[in-house]
Order: sequence, then C-alpha cells, then structure tokens
Amino acid sequence: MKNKLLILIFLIGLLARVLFLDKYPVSLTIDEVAIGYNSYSILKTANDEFGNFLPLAFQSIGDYKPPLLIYASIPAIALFGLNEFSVRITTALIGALTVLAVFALSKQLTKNLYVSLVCAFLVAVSPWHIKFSRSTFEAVTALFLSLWGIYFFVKSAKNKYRNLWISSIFFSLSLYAYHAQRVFTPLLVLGLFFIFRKDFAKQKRALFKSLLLGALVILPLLVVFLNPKTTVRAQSTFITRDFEINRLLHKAGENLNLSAKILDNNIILVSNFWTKRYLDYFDPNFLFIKGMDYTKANAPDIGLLYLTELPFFLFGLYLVTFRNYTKDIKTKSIIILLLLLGPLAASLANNAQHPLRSLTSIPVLQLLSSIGIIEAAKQVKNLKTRTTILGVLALSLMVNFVYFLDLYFLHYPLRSSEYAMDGWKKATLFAFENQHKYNEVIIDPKFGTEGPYTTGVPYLYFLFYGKVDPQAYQQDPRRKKEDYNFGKFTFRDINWVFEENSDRWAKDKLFIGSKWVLPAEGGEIVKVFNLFNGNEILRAAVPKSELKTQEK
Amino acid sequence: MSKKVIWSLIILIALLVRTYDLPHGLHFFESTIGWRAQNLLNFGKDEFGRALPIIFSNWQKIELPLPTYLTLPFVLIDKTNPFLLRFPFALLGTLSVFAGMLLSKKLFPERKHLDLYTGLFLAISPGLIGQSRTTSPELVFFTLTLWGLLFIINKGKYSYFGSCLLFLSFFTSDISLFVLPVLFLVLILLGVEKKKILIAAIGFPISLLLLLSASGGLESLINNNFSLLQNRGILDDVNKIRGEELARGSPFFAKIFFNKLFYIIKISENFLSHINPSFIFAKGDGNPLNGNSNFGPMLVVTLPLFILGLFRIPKNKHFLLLASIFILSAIASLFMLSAPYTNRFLLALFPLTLIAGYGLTLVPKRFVPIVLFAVFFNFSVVLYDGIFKEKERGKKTWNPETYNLALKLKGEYSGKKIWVTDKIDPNPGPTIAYVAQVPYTDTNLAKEKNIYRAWVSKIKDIDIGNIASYSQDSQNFNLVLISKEDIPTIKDQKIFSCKWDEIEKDLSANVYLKCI
Repeated sequence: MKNKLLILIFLIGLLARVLFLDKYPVSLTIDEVAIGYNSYSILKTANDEFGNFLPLAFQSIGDYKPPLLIYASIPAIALFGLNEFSVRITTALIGALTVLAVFALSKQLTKNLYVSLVCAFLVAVSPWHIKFSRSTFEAVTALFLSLWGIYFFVKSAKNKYRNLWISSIFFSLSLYAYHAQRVFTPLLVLGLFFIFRKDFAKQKRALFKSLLLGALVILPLLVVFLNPKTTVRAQSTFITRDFEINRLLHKAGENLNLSAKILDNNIILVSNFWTKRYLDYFDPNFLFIKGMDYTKANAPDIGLLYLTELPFFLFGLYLVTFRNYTKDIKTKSIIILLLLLGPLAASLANNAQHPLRSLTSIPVLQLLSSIGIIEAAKQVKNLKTRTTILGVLALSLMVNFVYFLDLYFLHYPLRSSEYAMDGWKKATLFAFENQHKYNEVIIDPKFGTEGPYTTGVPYLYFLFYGKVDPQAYQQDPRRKKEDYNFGKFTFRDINWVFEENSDRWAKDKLFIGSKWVLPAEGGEIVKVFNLFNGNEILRAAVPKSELKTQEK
Repeated sequence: MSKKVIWSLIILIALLVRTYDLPHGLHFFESTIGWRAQNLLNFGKDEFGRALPIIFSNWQKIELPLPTYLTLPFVLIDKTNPFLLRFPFALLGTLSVFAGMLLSKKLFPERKHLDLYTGLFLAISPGLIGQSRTTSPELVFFTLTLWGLLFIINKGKYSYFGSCLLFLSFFTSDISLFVLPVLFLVLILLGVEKKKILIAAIGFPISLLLLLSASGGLESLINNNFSLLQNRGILDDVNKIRGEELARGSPFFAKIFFNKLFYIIKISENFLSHINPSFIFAKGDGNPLNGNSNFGPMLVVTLPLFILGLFRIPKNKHFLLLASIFILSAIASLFMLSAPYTNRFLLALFPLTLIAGYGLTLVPKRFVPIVLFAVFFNFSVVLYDGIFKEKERGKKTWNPETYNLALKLKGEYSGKKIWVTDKIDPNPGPTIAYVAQVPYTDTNLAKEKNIYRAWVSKIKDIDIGNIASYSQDSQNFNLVLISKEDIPTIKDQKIFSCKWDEIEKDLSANVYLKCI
C-alpha cells in the first residue's frame, strides 16, 4: 500500500512537471536557450559556444553558468534534438525525482510514514517546485542533490558513518549545480557537523575519508574560481549591489565621525538591510498568498505553499519548535537548521522575496505542514470524524491544486510571455526561412510592448531555433570579429531615422525589431510577431528604398 | 543597584527619548490639534466655531475628543510651541512604559526582573517612541488600555478605576471600537467581573453614536477603517481575471475561483501581514509618522529573545490574554486597503515586549549583560539613525518647509495678500493657522460648518490652493508662493513672466517667491 501510494504521488508529480512541457511555459527564457545550445554544442563538438573545451563554468550573458545542468541535459538533447521539450525534460525529471528524495529524507527525519507521504505529496503538487521544474532552472537540480546529501548524511549516522562519503559526493556535486548552493551547502554541512559533532569525535576516520573525497570532487571547481571572471555573477547579484541599499552606503574616502564609524558604518547598514530581506522570506503572505506572483499585484494569486497548508504549517512549527514533536534533538536541530538556512542565500542576493533562489526552503516548509496535518488528525480520536476531516483537507488541497493549474496554464502565460521572451522563436524561424532573399538580416535586441525597455539576447534564439552547427558557429569569421554576429545575421540597434545612411535606405536587407524602431513609415512591414496574449512584440520590415528620392 | 533606581532609570530613558530632538515641522494632523486647542482656549470653540464639541473633524477623519482635550493644559502654557503640543503624548508614552512594567509584574510575579525587561523594551521600542513623539490618538488609546487592564484585573477597590480608563479609551481612537469589545469578551473568559466590564463597555455605544452622529461620521468610519471594501480596483482585477477565464470558455472556474470571496483572502492577507517578522522586528510600515521608517516597532535583537520566550510562555495561564491582545491589534487593520500600520498595531507591543522580556529571563545570568549590551547597541544604532537620517526621510511627513513658511507669513509677510501653493505640503493651512494663532473666524472653515474633509483654503489674506486654480484677475496678491513642482503646470506663463527669486536660503530651496 505504501509503495502504491508513493508511486501514485510520484506519478502526480511527474505529470504535473512533464505534461505540455513544450508549450508551457510559452517561451524558452534566455537561460534555457543558453543551456540548451551549450549542451548541444558540447554534444557536437565537446566545446561550448565560445569554443572552450569541456568547461566547468559556461560563459554566458552577464554570468558564468554552473556546468552540471548543461552536461546533464546532453542525453535528452541527443535523444530528442534541440527543442523546448529536450531542454526542459531533464529538469522536469529531476523535479519529479525530487518528490522521492523528499519522501526518503522526511522518512529518515521523522520516522513517520504518513508524514513522509504527505510531505512528498505536498512537494509533488507544490506550485513553487512545479513552476521551476518546468523550466530549465539549475536550482531544481541543486536542490535534488542537496536533499540526497542530507539524506545520506543522516542515514550514515546509523552505520557509524560508513556511507558518509555518498553524502559528501552529493553535497560537492550540488556546488556544480547552482550559484546559491555555494552559500547554502557549506553552511548546511557546517551545521550538520555541529549537530553531529559528538558522533564525529568517535568516527574521525570516516569523517576524514568523506572530507577528502568531497575536497577532491570540488577541487576542479576551486580552480575555476581562481578566474575572477567566474565570480562576476556573485559580485553583481550580491546584496550590496541592490539599488535600495547601494545608494545609502558610505563611499570610499567619505569622512565619518567616531559615532558614525561605530553606529552607521557600512556593515551596520548592510546588516540592517539584510535583516529585512531575510525576515521577508518568512512573510506569511509571501509563503501562502501571493509569493508566486502569477498575476498582477492585488489580483488573486498564489503563494509558495497552498493557503490550506497554513494552519497545519503553524501547528507543525509549533509542535517542532515549542513542543517536543520529536524526542531526537538532532532531528529537531536539522529541521530548524533547514528552516533558517533555506532563504539565507536568497536573502544575500539583490532581489527581495525571490522564490527561485529560496528553493532551498523545500521541503522543510512542506515537512512542517505535513507534521501539522498528521498530528492534527491524531488529535481526532473518532475514526469516522478523522477520515471525514482528512477527506475535506484532501479535497481542499485538490481545489488549491486545480486553482494553481488554472493560474499557471491560463493566466500566467498571458502576463509573463513578454518577460519570457515570447516572440523571438517566431521571429527566428521567419528569419531562417527568408534569409535567402536578403544579403543581411539585422536584428534589434531591444523590445517591449510599452516601450523598448527590455534588451533581449536574440543571437541565442537564432543559434537555438536555427539549430546552427556549433562547429560552424565557433569557426564563423564574423563571430570571431563581431561578437555574436554570424552568417547573414547581425545583432545591433536599428537606426530607422530620416537621415542619410540610416537603415531605412538600405537595400536587400531584412530588419527585425520592435515597433519602436521599425515604424510603418519608410518601410514595408512584412510580418508581425505577437505574444501569447495577442499583443505585438516584434515585426519584420524591409525598407522602401524606391521612396528615397521622393521622400527626400 | 536597587530595583527602584532601575525602574526610575528606565522611566527616565523613556521620557528622554520621547522628548529629545522632536521633529522640526508639524504634520497637519498635529497642527490641526494645536490650532483647535488654541481656539478652544481662546474662544471655547473649535476651528469650525462649535462650542466645546465632543467630536472633531480633521480633514481626513472624524476625531474622538480625548487627544485634543489632553493637549489643552500644555497649549495653555505656550500656544504656539510644538514641543508643548506634543509633550502630553510623550508623557503618556512614558506612562505606558510604567503601566507595562506594572502589568507584567502583575501577570507574571514569579519571573524575576520580567517587569524591568518589559519596561526596558517598551521604553526603547522604536514604534512606541515614534508614536509618543507625535500627537497620536493611538498612543492615548494604548496607554489608557494598558492602565485600564492593570486596574481591572485587580480585585481590590481600585479595580473600577480600570473600568473608567477602559471606558475613556473608547474616546481616543476609532480602533478602540474594533479592539476593546473583543478584549472585553476575553477578559470575561479570564474571569474578570462582568460588572466592571459592563461599565467600561458603555463607552462603546456612546463612542460609536458620537462618530455616526457627526457630519460625515459614517463616511469617515468607512474610509478610515473599511477602505478595502470600498476599493473598486480589487473587483476590477478580479473581473479581469474572470474575463480571461470566460474568454477561454471556462465559466465554471471563473465562478468558483474568481469572485467576491477574494475579499476573504485580502482580509487574511491583512491579518497575516502583522505576523510578518520583518514588519515587527525590521522594517515597520515605513511611515515616519508612525515611528522610525527604517526600523520595525521592535528592536531586531529582541527577536531571538521573543522566540525564546515563546518556548515557555504558552504554558502560562496568562498567555491567552497576551495572544488575544496581539490578535486584536491586528484585527484593527483587517479591512484596510493595505496593512499593516504600526500605529493601529500599537497595543501588540505590550505582549511582544513582555514575551521578549520573558525570553530574557530564561537567558543564563552570565549572558544577560552580553544580551543587554546587544540591546543597547541596537538601540544606539536606531537612535543615531533617528537623529541624523530620519529627519531627511521624514521631510515630507513633518513638512519643515511649511513650518518655516508659516513663521515667515506670521512675521515679515503679515498684512500682505498672499497666495500659497498646496504642492509643498498637501495641507499647509492648519500649520499656517497654528503658527499665527489665527482665530477660527478668520478661515473658511467657520463658514463651512464642520464638513467632513473640509480643507483650510483661506486664512485671513492668505489663499491656499492648486496653481491651476490661481487667477491673477480674481485677486490682487502681493505674494505668490509656489514650488518647483508647480512650474510645469502653470498654464498662463505671462503672469509669472518676471524672474524667480528664492525667498531665502533658510526658508526652503523648494519654495519660490513671486512679486506681482
């Protein structure tokens, strides 16, 4: 029965993560196409798009991507080709398998089958985890590895830490998976060592072996970190770069009196700011009402957890922290450690309440809800009443789940398609189909429905949807000289003004850009590309060169 | 050091931080009370010309009488001194610290030093300090309620004094109408004599009737307490999503997921916003009028103490009272368009500080000095920020520019016909009237007869308004005072054709003078 239930939960989790995976989310994000094309490039040439041989940090737009997911995506891309499904399926499968990891870990911690099953179910239907599992987000893989790391750590305690090395491998690999894990994992491991410190005093050998193995696994990564370029991302997203605090910080060379040096120094200012950010991750509204931000502010939305879970979460939290739900102090400490560390890495970055970066709070929040649910049920002695209450709860969770699916599949795409770079796929396919008619295709990266406020990275979409041969791209003479330009494709701002030598007089050239740079005058709009919600986002135009003399 | 000395020290600290370096400038809520007090003292009438009224209008709301009448003895000493106008509130804030100490001692006599710790945390609570430094009706409510609770839970002959104080609480702020009735039920559950509660409860219908009988009273009550239910935008957003559902052909989902039940979610959201630790311990509501806008109503270092206290305190029989007070404080903002508000949540500071204090009593003795050092360091950081930085952040709240302008208008510009923009301050009239001690007869309010949201637009020879309404033909003004923000909106550039001169450096860089 237990296994059947677990399989059922896993299947629910799997279906929620893989159904319509190629269509929803409606467009691949920049990160997704970058990961997809680099996997493809490694598959075909063993080099990334820039020609680096099997890198451990993938150069990308504004950062160096962690390598694990790119390598992990290769089999799917080899099997299914370069498309939305193949790029997303690896993360979706890892996301589904996370449900099993959650079950194993919660069982290990609570020793309670029902709590573990409920916890696995809550993660399987989690609006938070499903969303990120359906897109190619590295955080999902990192979470999966961390969970197995904790699981094997706790499990190894039972056999004198003989299997601690497995945990060590998982933790070390998680550092290759996602930037946030590079803060979370070391602190988590330190915390676990502190909790189990007395045991380790007697098991120095097992500890030494595991540490050595872990060090060996992360050694190549440490070598990568020696290149300052690879830490650009960490620097650019660190909390001190946040506009809100950055403008308040004292600048170098500023004269401060003694009281200011003590009470108003930058450490105090950043600490105060960070405290707000960190505590905001425990905001019940973020967690239960509107954290996912699927709709516009003030409209009905959904939290990282279902609202139905709220009373049980509070009850579970109360039981674990204030009552002795578990007599094992280590289990209690691990739960509290996970609760406190979950949002830590996210809070040190430059955005407030970031669901993706705080994914490390899974599954501890669901675990508390599960403990609350099972313990609340235990309070009801009458079996019939208990069954009825659990039935109502299950129904309520189902309604919540359907509500989430409705928001995710219907309303979220309408709102998010522009942000998710919808439109570039159609524009790319059109450009490839029609490139033979023109000498050059010029693509303007700036777009937006309300103004050209977003700068896209169209060359990645052209590489991805054009299935450009990585070997040819790496060797392309234009790319070598002009950054991202290759073949007939040029990526730059379009200059459509009524001036001599502007683009509007060009011959045999196709222009792709937004309506802000390609107004109808002076050119012929040959194609319009709309977002999922029907709004125009891009258009293709050719200049009416024959009008040149007339207009002048 | 004896306990009495420590008590006195805490009270002294509380009074000092509530009176030192008060904000320069006045919020129009404050200046209205001050100006009203002047008129009551000079003529026995309020700013609308009503003789000793028991209900007032203050532009955005109908006000209950107690806060205004409390200021009278102090305004009598110096009618245009902002410090004296605010002093009774600072005094009440200090008295609330005293009440907090006594009440925690009464509720938890077995916890040594709990009274001191509660008192200390109340004395240095940024939220309570902020409310004690302005003319806050909620502060009066908080103080009277704490003292009322202290007396009413006693069984002695003075316990009826508690009933009287709680009765009076109903005449401080409209939040009393939400909080006190439920608090009374809790007190009955806890075994407080029904007779005592009944005496206090008489205040409820009287206060409610007073509010409702005032011109615009119902409107004010709704606008200031039920703004959520009035906002059309929420329904529009729900309808928009509903429309998306219908467009896809799923009317069933449209009906069950997107309907007026969303208000329940919004109400829950308002409630939950109060239990956000970031609000309580780190950032507050961000409104300088309700405390230091860079910190929460509680010091962040008290958070671990609060959690520690929570470990043990639920086992105590008085936990129900503390939990109820906390929840009731959140109830006061349930139906607001946005929440939380530090001032409406003020009563929760008592259970919060008490639980944090309880946590401190659980800390091993040898660590207490370290914790206290951390608390004082945290407080010093808040204090430094308050003295040197909050002034700049709170400029738009305290409007020092308006206050300086009012002093100029009273002095060298008196006797001239002047037109003043409303851009430097949304409601500059009360401050100008307060500083110049203008009799109620010399403003437009006396003629408007207590209209809800009545705005002071004319004081003697001074007209106040939007630049768009200014017309050179209608009045012969000697001075026109406008702000930089007005310049782009001036329609007739000809009337302002000559060169702009800044009034004076000390007045404000944002106020410009034009001689016609």
